[in-house]
Amino acid sequence: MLEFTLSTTNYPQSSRRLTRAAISILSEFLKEGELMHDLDLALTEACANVVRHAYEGERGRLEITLHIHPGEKLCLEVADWGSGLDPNRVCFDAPDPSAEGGRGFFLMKQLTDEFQIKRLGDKNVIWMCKLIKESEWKTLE
Amino acid sequence: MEDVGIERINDCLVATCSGEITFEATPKVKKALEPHMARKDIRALVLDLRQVVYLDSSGISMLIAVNTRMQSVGTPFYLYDPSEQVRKTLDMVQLISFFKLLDTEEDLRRLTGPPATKARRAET
Repeated sequence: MLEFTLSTTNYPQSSRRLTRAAISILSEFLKEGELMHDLDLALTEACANVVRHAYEGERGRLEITLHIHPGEKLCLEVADWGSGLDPNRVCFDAPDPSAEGGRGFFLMKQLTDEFQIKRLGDKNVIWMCKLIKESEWKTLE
Repeated sequence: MEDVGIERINDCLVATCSGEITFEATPKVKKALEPHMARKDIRALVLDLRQVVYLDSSGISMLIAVNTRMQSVGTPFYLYDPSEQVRKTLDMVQLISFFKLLDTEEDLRRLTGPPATKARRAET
């Protein structure tokens, strides 16, 4: 298993740059295409959630850790040290079509095979795993 | 994201976006569209999404907000030929049939073309 950690401050521009950097690392392991777009979107949604909600308007740390299991799966961990999410208050259903918000978690769940919200001490984690077909890998090392 | 281009074609307004519509870019699109949303001199607002390669939930929220606003002023809002990635994202959140879509250049031409003149009945 390979592990990469990237972190920044929760500015909107920094958040997107951080996601792009993570995708750049993943592109060394995975072929370009729909899968990369899906992983990018899942990470972007998780990071945007931290930017918008975790620190209640204050600045704070946003961290992505990639857990790469070559030939098998990827686990994406997005962490913050802010106010935390109550998993019981998070809605994973598709909202009414005319509702303006509330699609972030729905998208993350749709795009991944495993989704969890965890609290580890003072660290809040959005944990997403995706099983990756052997044909999608560039390298298994 | 590049600047939002605004073009008037007859009495329709076509706004063109490119690149990514994400959390950081959404305010720019909203700001560009805002002055045009309550205009009484247009009969449709079209958002050209052919060159948009990425749309996140903030972008989706923005599209819904514009759609709601245009409904409230009685002017139809159309998405023009969203890219494959944008279509996929809209489909995933079950909104692909929620928006009015113009799929082809011909659809756009038909909408933005000059109003058809009424055929005059030949006088006898």
